[in-house]
Amino acid sequence: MSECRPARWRRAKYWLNALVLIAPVWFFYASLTPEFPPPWETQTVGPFSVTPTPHNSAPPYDHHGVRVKDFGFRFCDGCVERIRLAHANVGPQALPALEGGDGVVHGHGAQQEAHVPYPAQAGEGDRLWLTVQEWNGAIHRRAWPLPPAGPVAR
Amino acid sequence: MAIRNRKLWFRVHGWLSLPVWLVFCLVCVTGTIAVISHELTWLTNPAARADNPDGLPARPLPELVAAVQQAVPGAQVSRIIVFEPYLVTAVGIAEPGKPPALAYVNPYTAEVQAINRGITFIGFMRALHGWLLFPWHQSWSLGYYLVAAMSVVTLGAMITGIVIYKRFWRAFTRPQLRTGAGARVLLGDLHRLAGAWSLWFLLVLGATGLWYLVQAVLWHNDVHIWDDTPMVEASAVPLTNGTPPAMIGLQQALDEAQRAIPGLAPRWVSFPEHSRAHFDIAGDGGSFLYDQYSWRVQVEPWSGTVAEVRTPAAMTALQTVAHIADPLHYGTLGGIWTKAIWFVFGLLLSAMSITGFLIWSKRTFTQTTRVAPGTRTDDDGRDAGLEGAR
Repeated sequence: MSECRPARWRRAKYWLNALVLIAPVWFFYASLTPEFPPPWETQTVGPFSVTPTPHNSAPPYDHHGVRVKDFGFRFCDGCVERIRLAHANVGPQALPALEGGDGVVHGHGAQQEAHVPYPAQAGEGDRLWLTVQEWNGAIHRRAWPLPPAGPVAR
Repeated sequence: MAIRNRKLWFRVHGWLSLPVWLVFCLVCVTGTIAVISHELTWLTNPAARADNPDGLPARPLPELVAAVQQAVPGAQVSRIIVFEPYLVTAVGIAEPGKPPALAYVNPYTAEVQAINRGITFIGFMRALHGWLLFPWHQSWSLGYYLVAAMSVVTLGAMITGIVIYKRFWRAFTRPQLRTGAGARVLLGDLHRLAGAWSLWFLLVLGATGLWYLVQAVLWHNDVHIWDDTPMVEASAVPLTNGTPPAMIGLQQALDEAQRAIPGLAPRWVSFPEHSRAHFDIAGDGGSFLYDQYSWRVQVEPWSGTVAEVRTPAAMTALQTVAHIADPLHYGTLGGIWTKAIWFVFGLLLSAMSITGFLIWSKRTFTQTTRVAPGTRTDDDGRDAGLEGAR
């Protein structure tokens, strides 16, 4: 019996890598049934209604040297065309001016997205801010509280 | 080279390849299919064919966009992808409340032949071959590393193969395929013959694969091969009484791009994603070695100013490698004929991982049952496999 085991191992060992082939099948199945974090509350920012949704539950990551987390922003239909610029950030307050490139809201159509600057350790006073400027220069701001616990708030 | 050393090289040949032979085979098979994925799409999906019975010239891209906007009212166009002349042009669209879609437009008649809201076969094959569908964590994917690491197996098997296959060039002058000497001899001959004739292919695939491994490390560490074009100054974006101002049209953006790079044949157009972004226009500029994004122009959408021009002539060494890797890896450099050659050699490479495993299997398990007790062989009876390589 003790001699059988090594022989079986020798025969089987180069088949072990077949286990890796299960991964694509599994990931393909998972891609057919994607799970997204729940959308946050819909709020109005000036004349526009917006619903933010984080892309995933993962902690923030480094993007071009800035710590960010990806969010989708669902604007009301036909509203994006009426917006000159929009930025998002997480912090104690909204961005003071729409000059920099960080957190710029972008995309095509009503479903927009942004790489939102996000502190490494989100504190009590931090919120998700959206700053929207209309074509006439009018600026509107709105904040969403961060979820109290879980990976999103990390 | 001394026979003793060749035995060691032979063992390394097996150690490199055998533990991952099935994964390697999957990567080879999916890559082989990916090479002809455009042609398979043409064969299997009539809506993706650009039939042109009247021999019409290709319509300007703005006409194709207009056709899509007419067929899908309210659609926002995000991008245009121009494929081979026998395939439709894909126009990316966003519609309220619907997932992003691709409109398939016949480039000669401007007929919208289909709206695809799902995945494409081309994209699926690239993802399956490129990262085995493993998830991406922003800038890295375990699957991408896994696949790119197969370049080490490829190059390692090639180098050790050359060493252990004594006078391998005889495979070119006196190819040997002994069909009447049993399966093991035939498998060995097939493996060596395919290996010798695929040397150039192994080198091309291994070297470009090694580049993808380097690229994966660069991406993972947030090192950019190209710097992003700086955004349009906020002050350059018009302020109005509230009415949305008009950007320049696609035709003007294309004209500006072609003025900056005469002869530019657009293969990719990305519409500005926000008011401080650019029209991103990339295409072929005439040199077959470079990919279809090597000639690239960023056009400012309010004034029509060209903000950045990229051409192979001005590329750094790293940028050059990044832009010549794909045509070499996928065999697209000479069109359908080089794709056909890459496909055939891709099949050979896929088969080599199978014949390699079968050779080991037959040698180890048939051999050990026949060897008289007490006869010395190495752990797997591998040395015996050198027969025929002499």
